[in-house]
Amino acid sequence: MLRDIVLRLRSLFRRGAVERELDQELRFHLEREIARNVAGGMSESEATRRAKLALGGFEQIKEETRDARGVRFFETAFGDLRYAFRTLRNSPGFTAVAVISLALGVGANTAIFQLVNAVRLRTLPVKNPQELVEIHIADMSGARGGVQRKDAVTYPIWEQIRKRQEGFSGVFAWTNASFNLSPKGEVRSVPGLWVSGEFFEVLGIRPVIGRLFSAEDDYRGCGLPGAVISYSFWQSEFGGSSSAIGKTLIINGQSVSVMGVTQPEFFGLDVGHEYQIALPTCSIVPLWFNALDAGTFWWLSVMGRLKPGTTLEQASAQLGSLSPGIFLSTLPADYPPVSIEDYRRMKLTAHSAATGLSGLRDRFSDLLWMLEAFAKQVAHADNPVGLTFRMEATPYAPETVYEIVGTVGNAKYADIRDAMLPLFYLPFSQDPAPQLTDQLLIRSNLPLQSLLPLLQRAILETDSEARFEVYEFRDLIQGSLARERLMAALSTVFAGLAALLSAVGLYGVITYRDATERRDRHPHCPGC
Amino acid sequence: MSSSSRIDLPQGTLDLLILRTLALGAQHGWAISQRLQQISSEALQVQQGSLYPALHRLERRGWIRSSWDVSDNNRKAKFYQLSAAGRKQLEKETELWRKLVAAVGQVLDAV
Repeated sequence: MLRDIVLRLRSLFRRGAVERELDQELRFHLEREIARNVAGGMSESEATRRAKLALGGFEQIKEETRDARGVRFFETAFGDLRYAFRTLRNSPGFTAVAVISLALGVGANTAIFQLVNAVRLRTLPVKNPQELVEIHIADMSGARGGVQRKDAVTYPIWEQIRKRQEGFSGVFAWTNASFNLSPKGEVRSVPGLWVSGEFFEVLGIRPVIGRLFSAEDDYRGCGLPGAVISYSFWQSEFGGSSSAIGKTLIINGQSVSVMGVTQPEFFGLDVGHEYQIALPTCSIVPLWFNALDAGTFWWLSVMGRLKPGTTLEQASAQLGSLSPGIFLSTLPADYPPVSIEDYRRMKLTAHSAATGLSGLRDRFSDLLWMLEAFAKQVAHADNPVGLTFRMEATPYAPETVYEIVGTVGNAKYADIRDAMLPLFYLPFSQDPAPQLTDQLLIRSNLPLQSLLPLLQRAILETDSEARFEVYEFRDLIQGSLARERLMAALSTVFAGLAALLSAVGLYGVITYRDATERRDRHPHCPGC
Repeated sequence: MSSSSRIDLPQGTLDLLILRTLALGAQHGWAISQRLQQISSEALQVQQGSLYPALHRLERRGWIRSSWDVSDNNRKAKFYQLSAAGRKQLEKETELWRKLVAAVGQVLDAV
């Protein structure tokens, strides 16, 4: 069998030599046959004629011998390929169209797949993502205060989970954030993460240089021990230089030193939110406010890695049984009395997390459930002006009675896709607990270019320490529709592409048929 | 010898005959064709041209080997010889052939 392969390969790759040998062999045969005939008494010409007759045609023998060599398929294939290339070269227009069609088709398919892959299919770039589990509260309707994101818990609740859990080899808490890197004036925001000390360890993320947070870095009163930055941030801000470790960043006006850099594949846990800077949760105190003791600030997502041998159901059941104790011990002293029962009845459960959250799917749904009671009341009155309603006490304000002074038309609130929510508007001047940030809506017929310096001057004259961001409302709306616009654009492009390919294909088929028919009609004049 | 008295070689037996011829010693293509004619007293009609495809096929199957050498008239020629596997194949096919002949003969005699 080896000999067979060797001979076939030889026939394939040393065709020249093999052909020459065969030719020589046949000539030898012919010579001897002629010589025999001559020795038998024939004339030279007669001998030659008879010899050729007896042997048969050279070409035919060579053909049959080539068949016998078993490489006929390849030889014809190569011949066909060469013919194809020649033909293509002779009609560059057709070749261009064919190549472009293929390229567009392949490219379009690849692009779509990559997009779907990035948004949906890609699992988290962490160690053993199938062991990761999300921990959240089954029914959040008992939550009062500020719910910052879907399925979030407060810091006290997180501390209890960390202390009491048993079914996980490790748990951690995290949330998305936006940090301002600009020391003053106009804001420069980068996406960031608040993470608990165990975050990187449990996920199995390693540093490229420097070190990452550990559980020891995360404690009450830690101040600003340092920041972990992403690989892309390291490249863009520090040029990938190893001297980045220890350098200072100004985050929300305070100095924080760079502690380490994460691996290039790690973008965070939110598909669509690529973090640049990560800070330990204990650093929220100097940078924002004391969220660590806030029982009504729901901001942390919690995840855990299952212990080997523990199933998701077991871990979930275990959390469920720990829940009464956890919620009893974390009940805030100033919690609205009407909601205390709901708070104590909350239950923690676990869900699989491997495909990662998608920022594109994440929606902040806040006000609807808070305002339903209000909406029902108002709906019964045709003209609610003059009616009053009571708002229950919160940790920041006592129970307050409001009088309705007017009505306005329905409007969208947070998201253009939401329904028109029932809303009431309260004046700033009555706000018992003003926020750290406010939004001003300015209508102007000046273009943004000319308006901007005027705004800057006006703001800084009022408060020289103020930090601000300016953008056009239209851009905000466009931005919120980014996903739909992307899909629409892609669909349009691909629809156009499909139409183009169909047209090209149709044209090709028709001209080919036409050419064939023409040739058949004039068999002796192919060019007619 | 007129061509009408020659018998056409049945399909596949050419291989057997080539192997048998080579059992007597290594030869080049022309010599094989001469030998075949001699042994059969010119009774067999072997289209000389069909010899070469057969030889190459046999070589591929490993039953014969080829090498270039100088022939008796001082010209370069491609010589073929039987391999060990070829010798075994010859025995096997000869046996099969004799059985076939005997069986067909029995049928013909019985009728």
